[in-house]
Amino acid sequence: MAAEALKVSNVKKQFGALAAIDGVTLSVKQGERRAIIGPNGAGKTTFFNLVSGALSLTAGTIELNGTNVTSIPSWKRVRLGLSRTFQRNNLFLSLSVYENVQLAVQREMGTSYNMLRPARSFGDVRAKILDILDKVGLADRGDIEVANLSYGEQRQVEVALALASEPKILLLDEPTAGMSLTETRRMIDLIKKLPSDLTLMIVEHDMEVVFAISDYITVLHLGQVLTEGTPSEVQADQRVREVYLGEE
Amino acid sequence: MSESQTEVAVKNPALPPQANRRIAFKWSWLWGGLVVLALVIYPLVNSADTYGINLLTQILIAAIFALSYDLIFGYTGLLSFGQASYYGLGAFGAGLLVSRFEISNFWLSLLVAIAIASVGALILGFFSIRTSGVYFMMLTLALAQMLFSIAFKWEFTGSSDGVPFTRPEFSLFGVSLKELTPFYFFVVACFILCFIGLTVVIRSPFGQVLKGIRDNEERMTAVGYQTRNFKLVAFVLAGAIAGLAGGLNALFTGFVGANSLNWINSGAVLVMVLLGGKGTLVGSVVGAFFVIYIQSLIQGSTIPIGNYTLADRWLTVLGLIFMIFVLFAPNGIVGLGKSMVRRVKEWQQKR
Repeated sequence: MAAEALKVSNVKKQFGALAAIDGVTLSVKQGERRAIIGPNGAGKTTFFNLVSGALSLTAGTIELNGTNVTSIPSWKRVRLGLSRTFQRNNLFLSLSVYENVQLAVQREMGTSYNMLRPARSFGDVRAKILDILDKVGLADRGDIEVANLSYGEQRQVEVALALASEPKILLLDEPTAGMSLTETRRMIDLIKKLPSDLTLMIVEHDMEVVFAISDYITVLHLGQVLTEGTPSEVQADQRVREVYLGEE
Repeated sequence: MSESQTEVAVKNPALPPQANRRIAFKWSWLWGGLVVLALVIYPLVNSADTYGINLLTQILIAAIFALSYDLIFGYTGLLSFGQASYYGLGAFGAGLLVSRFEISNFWLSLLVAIAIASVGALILGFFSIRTSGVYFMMLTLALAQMLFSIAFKWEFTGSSDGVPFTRPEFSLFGVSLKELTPFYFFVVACFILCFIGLTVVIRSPFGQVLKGIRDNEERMTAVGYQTRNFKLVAFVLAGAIAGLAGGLNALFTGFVGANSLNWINSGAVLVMVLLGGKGTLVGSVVGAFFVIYIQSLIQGSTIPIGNYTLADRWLTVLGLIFMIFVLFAPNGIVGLGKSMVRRVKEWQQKR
């Protein structure tokens, strides 16, 4: 049995009187493709923010590969191998695609405090950036300012940034939101090609994407785990249908 | 450095605009060279024009100060209202060493100016950087005004009168730099050094990090940066350069006073960077030139306005210019120039 990459125990997040996350426990094995689904307001993004460290917990613990990271700031969690994308594009808009990825790669390679050499002159950094751009399908877009990219391409940059810090666990927050059909297909291909030892946790509304990618699904409802199971189990679950149909 | 530039173009034909950028870079070196040439030739041709050389010296010192602020504001995106602190600390460091400690050594004065300003930036920055947005603004302003009040009340710092001192004697290559023109050349050299130094820093990975913080600090954290440390280093670097500007000014005028620490000084440098174009080093220099030059024109004028002359209304004029720029040219003079070049190119393509 593979080791646990992520273990979340009885995590709670209170916003005033609202319990956005109300006692979630789950564990994700290394290399697993886990989808988190649930109707709007179920707390999926809040849950991601807790795992990534963007928000602090009210109660509970989070372990990354056996290390308790509950009170570790988000930038340090990145260094422990946890990387994420954002639901809404959250990039460096005045910089080029290349420079966006460069920021993540140079952090990973530890050259960020160098003040004397041009950033582009680091051969190994450059090679890795080009490799990542190639992986996410942006090889010919490197010199374009991110602000001038299409929405779908910006989503690809999101993934590129997350991959650049060599994650062991990757959190993808609605990677295909707002994408056209072709762009969605391309994103699915991209995600499927990710190395199999990389642990993936993905929040997604598009069920086609969820079933294409995930091998295990957790359903969140009102801040709690409603059920968990393989895609076919979840699909067959009456409660899941009720929750989704009730929303519509 | 140079091998990598060519390597880039050969290795990666998929990034064609890079080639353009390299050509643009050479153009900017040419322009820079011409400006430096003009700065060097001016006093040789107009050696009798002490007013002009004096003014140019002031402009270049202001430009060094503006460059330091652009690193914080234009590149790191931190709207600090306390950059005068480091300028003032530099000025006092250089001046008080001569007047109070009676050590009349030019180089030591400059060194002390830079050192004290850096340490000041380290301490004030340490506290300021823990906040953001409006709180950061207010804190930098409050800390700066605190320094100002101390200098304004304390006899040691000359309280409200300031401290005049005899400029230390120093010479380079057998030429006494106490004379106007040699001192001017020295300031030109300092300016070029700062400009090139900052250009190198901004092109470096560290400079990229600063731009990343400016664009989206939250995202920097999400890719694993402890942004605070980088902001502090930027603060100290900018503080050191502002200290150099302050020290040069003190050594130039033989006077140091509390006003160098005043927030008006922080405001002036903010206006320079905004008018010139924030986030471009050239912009800060253009802004410094523009503001100091217009100031000298207006303060020399005797055009009457009511019971006053235009000269008394310099800050009103500056305010109006500032408003016009903020409303119609938020990217400053350099931004205006860039958009004009772009329009001409578009027009050429249409034809």
